[in-house]
Amino acid sequence: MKYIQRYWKIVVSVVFAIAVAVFWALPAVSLLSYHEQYQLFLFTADYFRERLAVPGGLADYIAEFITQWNYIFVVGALLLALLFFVFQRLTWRIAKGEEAADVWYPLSFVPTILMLAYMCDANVMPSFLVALVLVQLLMLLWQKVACGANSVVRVAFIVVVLPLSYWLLGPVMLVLAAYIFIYVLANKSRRLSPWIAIGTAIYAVATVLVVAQFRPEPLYRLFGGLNYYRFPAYIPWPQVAMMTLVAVFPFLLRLLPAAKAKIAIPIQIISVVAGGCALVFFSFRTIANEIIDYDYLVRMHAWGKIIEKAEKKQPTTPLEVSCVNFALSQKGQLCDRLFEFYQNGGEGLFPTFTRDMLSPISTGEIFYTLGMVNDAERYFFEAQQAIPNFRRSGRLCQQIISCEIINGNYSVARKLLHELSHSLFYSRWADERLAMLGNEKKINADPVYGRLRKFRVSKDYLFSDTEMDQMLGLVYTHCYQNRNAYEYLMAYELVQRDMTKFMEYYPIGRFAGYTDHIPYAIQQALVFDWTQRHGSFDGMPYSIEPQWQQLMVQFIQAYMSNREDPVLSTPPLSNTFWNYMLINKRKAKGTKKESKEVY
Amino acid sequence: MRKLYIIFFLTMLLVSCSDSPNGAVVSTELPAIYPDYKDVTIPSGIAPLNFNAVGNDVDEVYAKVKGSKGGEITAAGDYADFDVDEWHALTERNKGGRLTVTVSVKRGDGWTQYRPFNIFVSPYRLDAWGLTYRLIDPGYEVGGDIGIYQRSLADFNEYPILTEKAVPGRCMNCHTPNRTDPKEFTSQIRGENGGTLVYKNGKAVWLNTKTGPVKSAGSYASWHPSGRYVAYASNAVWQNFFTGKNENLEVYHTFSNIFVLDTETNQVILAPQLNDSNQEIFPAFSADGKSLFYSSSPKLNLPGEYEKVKCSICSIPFDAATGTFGTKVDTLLNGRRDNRSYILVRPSYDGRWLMYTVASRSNFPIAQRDADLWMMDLRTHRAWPLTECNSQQTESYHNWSADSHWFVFSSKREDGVHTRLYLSSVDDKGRATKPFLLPQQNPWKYYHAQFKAYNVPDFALTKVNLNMHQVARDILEGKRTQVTVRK
Repeated sequence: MKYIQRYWKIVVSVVFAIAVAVFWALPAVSLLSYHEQYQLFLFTADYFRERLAVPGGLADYIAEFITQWNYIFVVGALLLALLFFVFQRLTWRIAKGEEAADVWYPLSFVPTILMLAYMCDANVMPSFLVALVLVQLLMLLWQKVACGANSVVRVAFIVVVLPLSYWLLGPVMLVLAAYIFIYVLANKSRRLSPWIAIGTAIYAVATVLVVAQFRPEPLYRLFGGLNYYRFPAYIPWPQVAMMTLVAVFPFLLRLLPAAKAKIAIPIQIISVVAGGCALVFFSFRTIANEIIDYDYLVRMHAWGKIIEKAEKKQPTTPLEVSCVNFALSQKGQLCDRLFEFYQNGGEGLFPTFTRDMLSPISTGEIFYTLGMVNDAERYFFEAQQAIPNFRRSGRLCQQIISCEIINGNYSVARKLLHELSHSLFYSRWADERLAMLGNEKKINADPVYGRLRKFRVSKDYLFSDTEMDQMLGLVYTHCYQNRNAYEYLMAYELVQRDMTKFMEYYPIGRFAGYTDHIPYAIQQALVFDWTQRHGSFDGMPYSIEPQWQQLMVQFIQAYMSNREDPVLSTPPLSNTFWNYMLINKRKAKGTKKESKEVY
Repeated sequence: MRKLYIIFFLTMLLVSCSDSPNGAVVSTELPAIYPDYKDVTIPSGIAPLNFNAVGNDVDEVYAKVKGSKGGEITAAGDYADFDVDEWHALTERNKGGRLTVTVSVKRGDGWTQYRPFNIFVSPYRLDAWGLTYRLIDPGYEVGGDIGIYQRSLADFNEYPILTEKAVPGRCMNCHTPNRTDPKEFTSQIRGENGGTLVYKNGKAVWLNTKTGPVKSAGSYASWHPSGRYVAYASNAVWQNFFTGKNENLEVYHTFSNIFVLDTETNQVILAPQLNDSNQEIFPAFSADGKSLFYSSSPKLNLPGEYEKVKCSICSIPFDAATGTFGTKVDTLLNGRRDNRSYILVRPSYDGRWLMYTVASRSNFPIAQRDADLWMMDLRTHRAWPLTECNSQQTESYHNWSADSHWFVFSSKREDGVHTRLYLSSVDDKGRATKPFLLPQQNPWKYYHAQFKAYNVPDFALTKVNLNMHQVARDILEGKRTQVTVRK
């Protein structure tokens, strides 16, 4: 009992930290990957100098150092959990310094949980959390200075620490200033001059204004943080709320009256756990995070998991649909299972290029696998360019370098590889590639590079996203081993509902080396085409399996008698090309429009 | 640290009296250095031509520079890093002469002294404080971290003029001064609250140049020598991408015309010859301001017919007193006839030369690998390629210094992707010298870590003084003066 009374607080904090680590390592692992892929931490003096040259640079540097460990997701999750643990403990230590009663300890988890919920927005930078933790340390230090030191030291603390913390941590300095302000006014017994409070407020604002004279950024960004949020022109209100909360929370806890521990603590724990779980759950379950999850699975080449995920919940956005189709193609099932999943036309195979940092990545991967290396490189490059805080990306650098190597542009590849070789987790890969440069034999022998070099068409022609079928046709006819290109071509015509072109391109599939069966979706389309012009299956020249003939008959009967017949909207008939061609046409159009706005 | 200083001091003591460290093996080969500064011609007062010895096995470099007219300086360390003041004094003393550079390289335990090479100091001063340029990732559609910068030519200092940090999400381009003098310049901002900035006599005016027949804001610009008029191309630029092995992208314009802005009345002056269905692009006023050069290509179905884009260089008379164009258009170089594209014409400010880019196609030369610089003598109309300056990769976007003896151009010769700036001089016969890469403190480190491309370079007679915060505020405010069309 004694031990419980003594250690219950730290035990609760550790349990919380473990829960946070599990959260990041399991459901939110894709967010870790997301953060990691939009930065490239380099172990160079220049990188350090570059970070420290801007307000908030030290927090950025530490955060980026930590984030690079997300490459090993478990370590990344543990480090992030540790940060949350420290954040919560410091919240309590500061509140304790303000004489908060132990009975309210569970409430000290509130800012941390709110922060966790806020960080479910993948664009909230870990920098913000690091900056808050470091500023909490300064708040603690202020408590010591305010209690133990004389007024000269107090003033010196403010004069030195405020500008220094602004430069190193960014505008969380305002949290410290606000805390000092309230501290002075709320602790009249400590006989602190109110001029300290007023002076601190003026000095804090003046610090930012002075810095603004030497910085190009607009004032609102210098007050809102240059890298607390990935989109620099935007200061989210929850960030302001969090900063305010950290400053005032210790005083709020102090205001709470004494309460009976036996009742208050369990009620608080239940409320905080239930409320926290609900908050994090709803903050995390967003369409944006779903898309990020698909991107993560593509990065991991977890094709099976993508298909499983889609089986549980049908994807709807072009990016998700394209990831599912990509996974199917990598499993060799694209034209077998195409219509088991929601389709939205050509967009679901090759989403239209958008100027964002996420959607071009998986589309680039699709082009890359198909041997359309130039197009892939463009998408990877654009994705890197679109990173709003202008960071470079380890993942995208790797992909760009691979494209350059395949294309034989070794000087550019070398340059990029030298950069990567200063990173922790990409350096080995970079060194291996550096050794490869210029060695044609070695590159051609590489299973990926060699294959893609064969797949590349030798004649240049202009990319056109409205004529994807022509391009896929060129790619496939250049190298018949590229069966994936043929399947994409066939899938493209099917999802575009273009039977004329489908029938035009279908015959070139004879070079694709199908020995087992003609892919099911293609069989369905062939039967469909046949039945458009013939009254029976007699004389049909294709190797169509009997099951498709039977299902076609079943489909026609149901369709002719009642187009709303439930049998048409349940498997197996719902998972067919016929259904997509005749029934889902209108639905697909509607969904495509709706899904445009996500990224 | 103290140990290092002692070693450095002793090394300097050992080598100070000879061309190379004691015991160096003399090689008959020229040293492999980056950048290649062998036999280049430089202006006096330029920043030191620091260089690195090429190779991973290089431990130390020692360089001794002797002037043909006297003077000598040395540099030793990881790379040849000359003292700025000493270098300036040496180049001043040897104006019209040459500097002989003896390089020794230490690998492992031994030094090798290489065959000396020359750097020629031009008799022509470079009449400019520095350069202005845009730094941009050599990308496709997404701009990223764009910025217009200026760089002192006497040292290595670079200063931002306007960057993305100040105006997030905007694209800024084509900072164009009047004959290199930044007291008058124009620039464009694209994106939300975009506009055309005309800066004259310390006053910035933001214009909306899109009006009536002018279908888009002005882009590539040229000042009339009087400072009253600015000619702009108004166009829509598009890119298409190649699927294949060799080329990356094709840049083309769906339309392109030219208009002249009268900065005193904020009126645009149009000429039917410059606003027809052909594509007129890259205007440039002649040195006397009496004509306007430009490139013109016939109307095509683009991007399908991208291979048929062949620009001619034309000129049309312009009367500054009345602000009117003449009627007769001269064709100086006929692209269709020669099956070439003549683009980006730049007359020298002394009226003697016409520098331009020649490529097999296109009116956007920077994206053409075979783009080369050519020169025409405006007295005789004789034209020739600047072979001293050209490479297998793109050379384009050139501009003259105010005295017309120097020019800056961009080239992708290093890796085919990242444009870098080179400077070269022209003598009275129009002969160009071997260009030199814009010097940097530690060139290898700088250029190999610089992933941005240099874009739209020009000389700056003096430092550009632009209040970036004010410009940012003006952009955000979005107040624009609407130009009108002169009837």
